Amino acid sequence: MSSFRVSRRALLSGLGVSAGLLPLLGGEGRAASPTKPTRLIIMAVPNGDTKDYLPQGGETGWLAQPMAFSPLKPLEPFRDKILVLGGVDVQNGADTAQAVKGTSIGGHAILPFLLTGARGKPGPAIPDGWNLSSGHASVDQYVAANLPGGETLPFPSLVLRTLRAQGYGDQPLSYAGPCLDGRTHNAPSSRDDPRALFDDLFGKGLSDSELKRIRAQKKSILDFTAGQLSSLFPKVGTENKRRIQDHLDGIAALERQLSSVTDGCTLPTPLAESEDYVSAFDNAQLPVVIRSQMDMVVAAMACDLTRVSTLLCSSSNNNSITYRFLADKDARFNAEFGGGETGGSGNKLFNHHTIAHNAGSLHGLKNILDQWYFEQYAYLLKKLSETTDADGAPMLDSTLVLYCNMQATGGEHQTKDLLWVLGGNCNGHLRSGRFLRWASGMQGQGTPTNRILAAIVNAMGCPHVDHFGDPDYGGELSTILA
Amino acid sequence: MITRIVGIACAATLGCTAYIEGGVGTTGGPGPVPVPSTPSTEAGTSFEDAPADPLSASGLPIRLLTRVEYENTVVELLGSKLPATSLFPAESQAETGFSKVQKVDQVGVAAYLDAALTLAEEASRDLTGLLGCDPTGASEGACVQSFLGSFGRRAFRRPLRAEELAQHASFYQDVLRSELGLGVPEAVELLLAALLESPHFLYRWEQGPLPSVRAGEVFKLNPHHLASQLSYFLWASMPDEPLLAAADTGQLETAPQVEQQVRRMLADKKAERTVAVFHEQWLGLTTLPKLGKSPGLYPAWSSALGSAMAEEVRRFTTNVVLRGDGRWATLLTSRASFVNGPLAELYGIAGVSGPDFVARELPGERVGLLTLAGFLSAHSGETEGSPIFCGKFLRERLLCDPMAPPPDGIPDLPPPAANLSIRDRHLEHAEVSPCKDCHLRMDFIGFGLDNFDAIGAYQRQEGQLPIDASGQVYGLDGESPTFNGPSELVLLLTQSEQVRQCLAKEWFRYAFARKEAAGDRASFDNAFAAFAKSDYDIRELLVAFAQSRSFTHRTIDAGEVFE
Repeated sequence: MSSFRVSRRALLSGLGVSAGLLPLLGGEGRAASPTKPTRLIIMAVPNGDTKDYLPQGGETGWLAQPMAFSPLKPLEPFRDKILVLGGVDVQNGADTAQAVKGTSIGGHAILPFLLTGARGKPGPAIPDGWNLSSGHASVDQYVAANLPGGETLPFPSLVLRTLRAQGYGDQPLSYAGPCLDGRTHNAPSSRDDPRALFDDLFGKGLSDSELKRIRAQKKSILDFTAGQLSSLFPKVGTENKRRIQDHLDGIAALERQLSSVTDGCTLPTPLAESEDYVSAFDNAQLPVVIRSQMDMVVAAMACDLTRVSTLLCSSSNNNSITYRFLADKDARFNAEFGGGETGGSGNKLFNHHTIAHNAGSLHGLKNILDQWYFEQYAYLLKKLSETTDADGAPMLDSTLVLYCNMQATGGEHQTKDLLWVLGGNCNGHLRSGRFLRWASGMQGQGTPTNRILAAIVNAMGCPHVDHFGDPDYGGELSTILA
Repeated sequence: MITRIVGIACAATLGCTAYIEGGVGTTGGPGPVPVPSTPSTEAGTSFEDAPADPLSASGLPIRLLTRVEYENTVVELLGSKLPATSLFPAESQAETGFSKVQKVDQVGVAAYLDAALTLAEEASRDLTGLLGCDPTGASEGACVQSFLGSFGRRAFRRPLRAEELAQHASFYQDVLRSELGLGVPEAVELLLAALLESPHFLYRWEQGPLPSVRAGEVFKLNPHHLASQLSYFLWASMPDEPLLAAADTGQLETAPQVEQQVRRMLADKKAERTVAVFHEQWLGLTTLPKLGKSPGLYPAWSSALGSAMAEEVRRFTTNVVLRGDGRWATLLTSRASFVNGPLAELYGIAGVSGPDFVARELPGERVGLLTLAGFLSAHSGETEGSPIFCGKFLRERLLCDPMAPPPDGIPDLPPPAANLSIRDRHLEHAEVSPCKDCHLRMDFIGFGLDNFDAIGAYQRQEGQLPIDASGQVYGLDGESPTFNGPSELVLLLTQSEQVRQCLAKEWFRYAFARKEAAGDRASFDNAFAAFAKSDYDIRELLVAFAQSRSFTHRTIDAGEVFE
């Protein structure tokens, strides 16, 4: 959230250093940070969850509902390491829609509100008319910009997503700040392809000398380009200055990336070249892509290349992902659907959107699908618990892994009474091992996301905030903090 | 700290910039960053209400080459094959309905750099060919200088200023040759990469040695900037040598000089790109090959068929607009199209096979652009045609009547049943409040295309049910005419002044990469008059836009500083 003037000065001083003999500067971040880094990973499943499968039992020792394909079953082994929150409301999104449009918002359009906590305004005029924007940074980008020691990391954050949709479902999860020019989402680039991500993070497996040579050449070009941009900067108008500043910030971040070293890190296994693997955009590859993305994130964090990452699983209105790979659980995932139900779009194939829209008639499939996503979340928790920090402790202890979603029931676009999960211990800042339930629903009083987001910012060790987003929704949810 | 969202009341005003973001409250930390409001014309009067002031213009933000523009440009600049552009900065159609690059960040910078290095490596294999001189020995300095002058002018779309030539020469000599110790071939390669990574290449903001001429609060674009505007508008690519030469020599000053160039450019084959890109993005066809269609119901569907449909639209539109009479009515009603084997089979046209396209007359049930399989497939579901999708598109992009998002609690369509047609299942939406507020306006247009299935094949019946393709266009030119079937629907659209105005706005948004603003009123009205005078020849609309004051001038930005 720093202004362009501040970051520009920081950049120019950085250039002064790197214009010299181009030493490899990596490791400075780690060396300069005496305490163990705290990390944040956010996994969002836009069509996930119904409150039908909230845990049974009290605050501790909860159990997954005894139902077929019980969605929370995969989380039971991690019960002591997670906080299950029932009754979360994306109140800022609903209130915005009420104020702007005179109707509470459809759940599909809520992504700009999920992690930003702010009431917004008319946003980018998406052709579909779902044009709302919160005008605020999302919690991940806020944390990335304010995390002590974060400014020296090669990757301020890793913003990942799988299989994007077109149109209004294709809104971003992460926002760096208010809309550009008041019209365009200010979203960091999101990455889909885990193989390209591996190359970016770990240098394409080049030898040290080759890598050093190529990086020196790249940095010479970047320095020269930054000089051109800097000389344009004072001449252009305010709006254009922002564009140029973004570009300069991108160059500065890339220069840090090119100075990073991964000596002593355990590199993840890149996704193998295979005939099956068509691309990260291929539906059938979704299971492989998600897990590989998770492997990359954990490895990047273990190497302290980044401390913040978001993983947006598809989009809220993505009809193009079908789940044929779940055919072993229900043959209908692999069959042309000839029955009676259809989705809101006339689509009958089994995608998350259609299934969420028919939580009644497609109840069983909804459980299978949500369980599958919780299995992926559990995989991430497992990976973090198997990877150790420098002190030998599991990385899960130092990480906060949020699982969030935005529609309690897809058909009604209801964005209240949601189920969120906070995994990991965030270096002792979370009181894990509990299930907390708030009365909610369309009429009831749930916990606004703001209170959780403020707690996340504070648990992460950023400068303390009294609230996140709009202050009207209250301050940090202290009951989840240690 | 109190953060307030102000300005909800101006929700209906496009480009309202008076909001202050909700802030993050910190104790003793920095507060929210104020967003500087932009005192542009659009904050005040809307385009619709604006007077036609012949001396006005609007802002022209710097913008990055789109992926398509980048690809066309490097092909023409270097003759190279294309580098990977998949990690280039994301493009959004949110603002205008046409692609615009959002912003450059770390990922984008890296992608541009990788592309530049790949292109440079390829292009510098023939070093002498690239440079046009021998870079070895004593002639090295002069050769690099001459390359910077000639190649730099094409890459930056303007001559380099003297200090820029010196900076690049110094980068070559001091950094690449001396500091990094590179040999001549490698140093030239990296110099070329630096030119391709330069903001002067990536951004369309040509600030050459020739000054822009300031007239009050409005600027006349300098000739190289105008040349670049023209070429990216009409060719989706860089200026060619005649256009650059005209800019160099002051031959791009008067309206007749501009018109002469525009007509030359429209006659060039490269103009097909603009017509193709416009229609592909306007009609929502960019993802056509990737659409999922039910394999059980549509075994003919494939990515290749989707690509063929997109190709048909390209050929159909470029044929009418650039080689035919250019008229909007012809575009909406012509049956002269181009099909390959699979498409011919879909249309029921005999005697065409294989992947190659041939000119054919479409069967009688089809009438023009909106009955091409590509349009119909793009605005259908996966199992059946969709009156909602078709109607919504026509409502928003042909009538310029944006639809609000659905409110909470919209019931799903009733499931398919043997005794219910698609139309029957949609009628409920159109009868129940609040659904009917929008669905009356969308679905009753879409019903006109009910004879086409999810991949655009014609069907006389829907299963055993007859098809009722009658409908009504609510609020068309202030009336609500009824129609029966696609031909009558298309006829209504063809004759509508509202639709013509809307088409002109769509082309404006494409040409200017922004929405029409108050300062564009006179330019738009003049262009529309020329369009009308030519009996709605789209080429005349483009010529008029390119000569308009909004195209050749821009307002001065807040905070801009001049030398």
